Amino acid sequence: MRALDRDVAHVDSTSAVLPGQHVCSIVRHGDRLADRVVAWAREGFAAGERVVCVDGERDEFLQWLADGGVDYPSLLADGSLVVVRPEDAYLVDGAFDLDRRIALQGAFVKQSVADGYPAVRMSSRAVVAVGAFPDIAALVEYETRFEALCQELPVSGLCIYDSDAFLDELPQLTASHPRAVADDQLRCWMERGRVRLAGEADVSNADLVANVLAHTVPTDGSLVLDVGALSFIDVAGVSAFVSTARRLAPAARVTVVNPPPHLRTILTALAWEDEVDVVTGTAT
Amino acid sequence: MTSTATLSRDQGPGGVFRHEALLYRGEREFARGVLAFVEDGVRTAEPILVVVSARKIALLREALGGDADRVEFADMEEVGRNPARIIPAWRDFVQQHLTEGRTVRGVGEPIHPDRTEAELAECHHHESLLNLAFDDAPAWHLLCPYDVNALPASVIDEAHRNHPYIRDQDAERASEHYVHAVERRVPFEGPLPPPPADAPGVSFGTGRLDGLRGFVYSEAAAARLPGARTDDLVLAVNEVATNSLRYGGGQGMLRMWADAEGLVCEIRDGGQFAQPLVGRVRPTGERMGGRGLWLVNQLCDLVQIRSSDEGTVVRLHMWLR
Repeated sequence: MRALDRDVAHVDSTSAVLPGQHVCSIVRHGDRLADRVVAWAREGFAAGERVVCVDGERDEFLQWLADGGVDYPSLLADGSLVVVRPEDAYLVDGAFDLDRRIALQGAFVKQSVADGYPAVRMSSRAVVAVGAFPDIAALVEYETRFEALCQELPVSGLCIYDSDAFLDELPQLTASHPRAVADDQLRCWMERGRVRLAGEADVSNADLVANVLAHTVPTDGSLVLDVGALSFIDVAGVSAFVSTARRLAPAARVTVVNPPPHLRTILTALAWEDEVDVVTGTAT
Repeated sequence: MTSTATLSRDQGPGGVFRHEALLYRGEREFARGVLAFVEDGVRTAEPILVVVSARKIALLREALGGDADRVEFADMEEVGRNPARIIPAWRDFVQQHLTEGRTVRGVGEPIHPDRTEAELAECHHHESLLNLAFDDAPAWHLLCPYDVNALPASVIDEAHRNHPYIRDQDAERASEHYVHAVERRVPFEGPLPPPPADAPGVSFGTGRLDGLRGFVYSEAAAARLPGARTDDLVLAVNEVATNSLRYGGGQGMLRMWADAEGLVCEIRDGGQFAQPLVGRVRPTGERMGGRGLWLVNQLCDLVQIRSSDEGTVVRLHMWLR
């Protein structure tokens, strides 16, 4: 564990989005969302990807890019940056038609690949986007279909949910992003059969970790959690691992690799050391 | 409290937990009083655990000669550095040996002249809580030596309040001043010296604790607390603050300062503790909650909890000595 630096922790834990990842990115009161979104967009431009952002009338996203020193007019002009209104992004001819909408998204990704982009990355802030959907259930259904699209085509998504605005619906909304969740402190995602964590896990995000763990299927009797990029974990974080281990037992074990020093302290002090396996020094 | 539940009276040979103070004057009286108690136990083949200073362990071993092998010793400096860790140690010992259907004996001297005021307050709470922790336990006998020559009269007065029985060189008797823990608000009562007026502080809430942890890191670094101890302190503060978020009104205030012994972190919130033995019951089984303060007691050198319907103050001490 190192001295906490908000800037470092912020970029570490939330910016990187892997190809094909559909991230449920939680925003809480006081979080610096602009940094998160600009970092995400910059990664896309650096990788030569096509960056699509769903934005409302306030052009908030473009303002963030400008404040972040991104020359967005030229990116808009050459087509590598696309900004669309929610009604254009989620409706078809002014109506909600999920099958046609998803088909159009898929066609757009294929066209982008044909145009020479290696992948497409899309971002949307749910408080802005939700107006285009008839109800929350439709939004959840869309997210579930988009998750499938991300596994099929070279497209990734950064879906931003303000926790205050979606307090009651957050569990089902995170569940529609079973492979990746993030907030200002923590990133938790599935990668090559492992669950990986980066940043700081505590009472504020243990439920996000539990969400990804709930959707991960063990392979060969083991669910591997790589916590090598975790700089802090507390009892609430570790209890998410232990709860998962109890749910999977006896068919499978939870294996934690590359633990920060405190993880063993917590497991031992709380008599949990027999419930999960801990392995140090496994290549990631 | 899973552990007490398994210690039913039925397992013992009858009677109750006997918690007795031994008032002695100087090392010779200590040796005489403790040896008589231990040798009684050796004669009746009772399991015996003696938790005193390393120096006194050496003294007793020598005096016991061959019988020393029939007695288990532990260094109070290790077991009881934080006095909140002593009750679980006794519980482990009693539980382990009572399954064999015997009575057991213990000697524990948590209070010595080098303890600070803050430590003394918590040692007295510990002595009082023993009566609660083993209320339902089968018969076992714990002798707590107090050095009348070296300790202030106020400490001996507390020994009279916290032990139902008192013995000295001449006699054993019931204490006239004994008050059971349930009639007091231990460990949540007692004054705390005010924090220094210039002690830096930070409030926390809105569900996040990363800023709070950053504050503890930088203050601990400035005070030159070693890295591993800093990690322990950050985790301990984090767990107390997690309780504030969950049960203490969702927010709290941390202040941090150095005193003559080391670093102090104080967390205030609007909650109230109800369980006197909180943090002193070894976690077992399936229950997922209530583990934070147990961990905090393992990480910190001293933990002070003051709690009433006006709110809760938790002070965590990390010695720099």
